[in-house]
Amino acid sequence: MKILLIEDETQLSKSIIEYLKNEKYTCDLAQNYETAKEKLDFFDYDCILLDITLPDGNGLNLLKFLKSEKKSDGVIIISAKNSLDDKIEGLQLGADDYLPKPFHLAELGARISSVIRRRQFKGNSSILINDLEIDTVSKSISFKGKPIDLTRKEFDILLYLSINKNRTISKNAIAEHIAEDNIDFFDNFDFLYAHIKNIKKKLAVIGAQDFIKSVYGMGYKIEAQ
Amino acid sequence: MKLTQYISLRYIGVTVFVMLFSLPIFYFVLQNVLTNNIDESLQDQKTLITEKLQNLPTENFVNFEDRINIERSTNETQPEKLFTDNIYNKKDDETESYRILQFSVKTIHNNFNVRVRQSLVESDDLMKTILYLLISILLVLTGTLLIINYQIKRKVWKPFYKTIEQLKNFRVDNSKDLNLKSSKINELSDLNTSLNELAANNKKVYQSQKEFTENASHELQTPLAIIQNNVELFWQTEGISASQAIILDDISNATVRMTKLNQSLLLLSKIENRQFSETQIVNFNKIANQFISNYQEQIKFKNLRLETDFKAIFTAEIDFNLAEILMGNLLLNALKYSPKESNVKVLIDQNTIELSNAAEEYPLNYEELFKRFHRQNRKENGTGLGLEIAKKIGDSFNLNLMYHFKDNRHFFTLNKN
Repeated sequence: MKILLIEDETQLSKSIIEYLKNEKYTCDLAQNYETAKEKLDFFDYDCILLDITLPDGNGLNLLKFLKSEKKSDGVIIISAKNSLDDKIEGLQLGADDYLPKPFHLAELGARISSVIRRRQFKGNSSILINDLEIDTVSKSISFKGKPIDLTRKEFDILLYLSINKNRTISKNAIAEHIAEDNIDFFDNFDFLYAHIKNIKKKLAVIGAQDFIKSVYGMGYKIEAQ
Repeated sequence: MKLTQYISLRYIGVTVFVMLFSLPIFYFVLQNVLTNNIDESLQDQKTLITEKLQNLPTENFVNFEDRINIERSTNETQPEKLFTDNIYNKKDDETESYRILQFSVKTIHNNFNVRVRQSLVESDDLMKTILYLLISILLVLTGTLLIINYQIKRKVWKPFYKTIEQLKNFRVDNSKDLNLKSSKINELSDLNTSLNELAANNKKVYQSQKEFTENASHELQTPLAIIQNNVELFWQTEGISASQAIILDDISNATVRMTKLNQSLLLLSKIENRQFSETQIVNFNKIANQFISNYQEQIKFKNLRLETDFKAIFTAEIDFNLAEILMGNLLLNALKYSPKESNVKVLIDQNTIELSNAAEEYPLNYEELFKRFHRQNRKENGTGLGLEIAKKIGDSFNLNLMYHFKDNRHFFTLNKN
């Protein structure tokens, strides 16, 4: 999987690239508008992470460029502006998603994974993890063919952890992922603990091993081969 | 009171005062002058009469003049006296004022007592005429002054009132400049120029202040993102100990909190700067329903009983996203601060939305409630901006957010103004 990161902040791009490499993505970096345009011209990417405020141009114009070249690369706008106008314009210009800075890397991973799933595996929208099959379209989970009845939030948490398998995901990242855009709700994590407990219970009932590990109570991790 | 009215009243007041004060003085001075004149003429006559009496043979003198009364006296001489007296006039059947000079003339043979009188009626008439004339002149003058004043008000003050009108409509957060026109009157021109400069400066300061708040919030996002990302990368490194995990968790929590604060402040400054996109008629019932269906699991988790009573549809002209934030914040607060297993009521009528939840402790302090960074309970981890945001959004779209405490329940109501 090949990803192009268009971001002028060196330190930020460094951390993103390191994360993406750990996730086994191949990653290119463009730190300004011109380089980005060149790379887009020469290569095809599975996903483009686009910062729209670039020192030498507006990232939205790159979207227009992609459209005019009839390229179908998936695009996620990452912006410090969190402006609704930009979001609407970006999505209208063909971006797949809009992620305001600052974001959790796990969240970025989940969004990239979702974009790539939608773009590349047309028809195949399932994720297989430890004999657990997660269907991201019908939002259902089965273990060795036996369906597990999860609530919507429980499903979201399990999918989120699965996409970021073998990584410790902080409670904050999970809480924010399921917070329905409202930034103020999760000022305590009781709700999250209860959900994790329920997921574990439901997995145990159906005979799946307990692969959701709590890491010192600060975060969670799914261990998978 | 308008300036011109004030000035007119002052004019009239001073005129009346001056007239009341000066007319009696004028009257007495004039009377004095006239009396002096008469007195002088009486003295002249005295000289004439004295001369005549001494030179003429006394036996055959005839008094032709009614005004002059000469009597022979035996030996008494009367002292010379000048006075005013009222004498009845048979012919006209009225009493008239006279100025009378009485004196004695000594000739070789005789003593004469003489009284010369002169009527004051003529001089009184003269004085009256002069006074009337004067009063009319003063009245005409005052009237003219008032008319001139009125004209001045209409012409000269017109640009001044226009300036005031324009100032009233001026808003520092509006893109329109003040742009006051210059006037023929120097003072007004100066005033308008100064006001234009003042307004332009204020706009500039306001603009940069606005940009600063926004830019500061934007610029903070990137370093926050860097901290957050690196904490996450650190999590993935091998062999993290429990104590390191606690430190990482604390950093992560602080970063998340700062991010929320930053986003809330950015939102507040956007609301204050009225930077929202198009307004539309928004159905609040739909938003409430959507929110409630999204939060079913949280409601179940806290075992809350949610009672909804939507009697009518509440609509308002508002930016849709802000309406969602407003409604979301209110519903969220009700769910969040409601104790477990209590009930939350949402009542929607045509002009009112009322949310109530059971109180854990006391009524909230109304004065402090909608203030920035105020948290009734320090244990809570919120930003302390949620209610202020809700209030500000309401204020921007003529929706009044109120709080009251009744039957051990918190009530938040949103009313159309």
